[in-house]
Amino acid sequence: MFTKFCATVSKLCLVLAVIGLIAVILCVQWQVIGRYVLNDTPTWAEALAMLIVLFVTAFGLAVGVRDAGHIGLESLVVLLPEKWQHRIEILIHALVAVFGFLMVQGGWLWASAKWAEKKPMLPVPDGIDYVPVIIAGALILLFSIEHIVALVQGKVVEPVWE
Amino acid sequence: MNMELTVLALSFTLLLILGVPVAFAIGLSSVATIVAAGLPVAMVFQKMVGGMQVFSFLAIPFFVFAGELMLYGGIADRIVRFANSLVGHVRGGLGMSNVIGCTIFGGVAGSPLADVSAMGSVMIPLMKKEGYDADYAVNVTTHAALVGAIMPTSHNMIIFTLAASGLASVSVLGLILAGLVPAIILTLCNLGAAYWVAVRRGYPIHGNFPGWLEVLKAFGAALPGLFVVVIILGGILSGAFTATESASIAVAWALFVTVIVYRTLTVENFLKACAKACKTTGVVLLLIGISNAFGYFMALYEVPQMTGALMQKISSEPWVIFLMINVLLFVLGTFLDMAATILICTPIFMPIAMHFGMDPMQFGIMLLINCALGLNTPPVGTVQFVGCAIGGISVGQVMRTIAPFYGALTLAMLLVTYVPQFTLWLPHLLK
Repeated sequence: MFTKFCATVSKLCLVLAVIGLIAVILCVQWQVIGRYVLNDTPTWAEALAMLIVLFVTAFGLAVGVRDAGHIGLESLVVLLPEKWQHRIEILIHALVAVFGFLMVQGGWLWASAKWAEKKPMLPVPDGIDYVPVIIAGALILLFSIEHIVALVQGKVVEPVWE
Repeated sequence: MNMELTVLALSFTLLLILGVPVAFAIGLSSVATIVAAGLPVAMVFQKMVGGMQVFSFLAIPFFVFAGELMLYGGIADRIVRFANSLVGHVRGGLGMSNVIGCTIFGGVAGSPLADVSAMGSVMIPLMKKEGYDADYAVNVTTHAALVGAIMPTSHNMIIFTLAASGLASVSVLGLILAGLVPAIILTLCNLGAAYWVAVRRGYPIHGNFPGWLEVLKAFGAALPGLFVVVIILGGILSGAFTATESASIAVAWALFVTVIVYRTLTVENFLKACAKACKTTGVVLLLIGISNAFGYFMALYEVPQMTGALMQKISSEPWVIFLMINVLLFVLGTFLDMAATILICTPIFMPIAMHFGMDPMQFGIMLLINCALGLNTPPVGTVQFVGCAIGGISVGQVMRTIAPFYGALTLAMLLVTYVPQFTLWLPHLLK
């Protein structure tokens, strides 16, 4: 049930990331068209592209964390007995989860602090730059917990889309 | 050493040894340091988002995406055919065409990993079928693939210009031009090594030269794919587009070529390319953002100055300093990811290299070649792993016969390190 939920979330994240990536490309190309064809460089295009790419990063990163498979096995940990490898793998996911939690907390703090200010080129709050940090943090937290649960149960998290 | 710096160094090393993914190791050690310094943790995330707000930063996902499209779009086959018609008839011909093919594909995709995946999966089985040893096939491919790191479409070049931005002004165009001559030198060294080993092992000669008409035909078939390099170089050189804009046009071109011209990109592969591009983008961009926080602490606690002073205690001869930097970069590159090595090492070693008269562009290319070599060296040699997986042999078997190839690339690197003209001639010429 939980795994199914995470798999759906992960798939949704990738869809959003792909849409975002294409949107970023279109923004930059629109800027070129504006400059050479319409003789009117759109000032919002660059700012919007820079904002969307933060969301692409957040979603792509979260899926990257979920699909990473066995992390830690590329280090000296492989020399340890299997039981310890297992424990360290859980520890690594827990550490990543802690960072995810800190991202949510730190992102929330900055987003709310800067929400009243407006961005110079776009009609959105300045604090919106930190929303992707909150989203990425929450997703990383979720997927790390999924990994820990799977490890404890002796299962493997399967990537949904490769 | 003060307490905060000790926390930074120790926590980072410990996390890496444990096997925490490098971006999170950097993030967590930055958090540990800020806690030790008694500052608010949220500062880390301010630095992180700050590090992600540079326009040229956008070129990275574009280059990654274009590379993935090229990888899944069937351009590799055409490049192989062209390279084969050109040098397939000499001794160890498939090895030579492999080098040429990897170099060309590297120019199109700009990534050693995409290069070894695309060219390796065509060339390595083909070479084995023709009677070449698997270790030779893998070594030729993995070493030739490294040249992708200094090609015009390489996103690692953009990462370097971002990492260097606080220390010196390095333009993307300057760095791209600086990489071209070293790329040729690397290719020549690779060709030399491939030929030398082929002669020593007595590999046979296959077939005759098909004639220039065939070469031209094969080139014509590969040309639409290769045109992406022309777009990027031409676009930036003429001043028509910025690097970021050229990169976005490269994506559109890659789509056009694979969907309309070659008709090789299936919907399934397109989605695969999209998914891979987004995941890579997420990881690389996080790394850049979080390295901004890490770099802030390194600067605050004067890590570059301390490293410089330490090195100057050992020697004040530029050539010794450059050698030490090379060795350190190589060692770090063997167990860190390429982007991470660039982001961490540039602020530490570039100031000292510049102090001893090295140009930032030259340093960049030297750093990139070192990182690339690290991709072919255990413990974390991603390119080598992929090559071995395709060739069906172990890393150990490949390592036993790696010496001539390593030697060739080390020679290329020494030339880049000690002869500044190789990197600087072209950028100065076109300035």
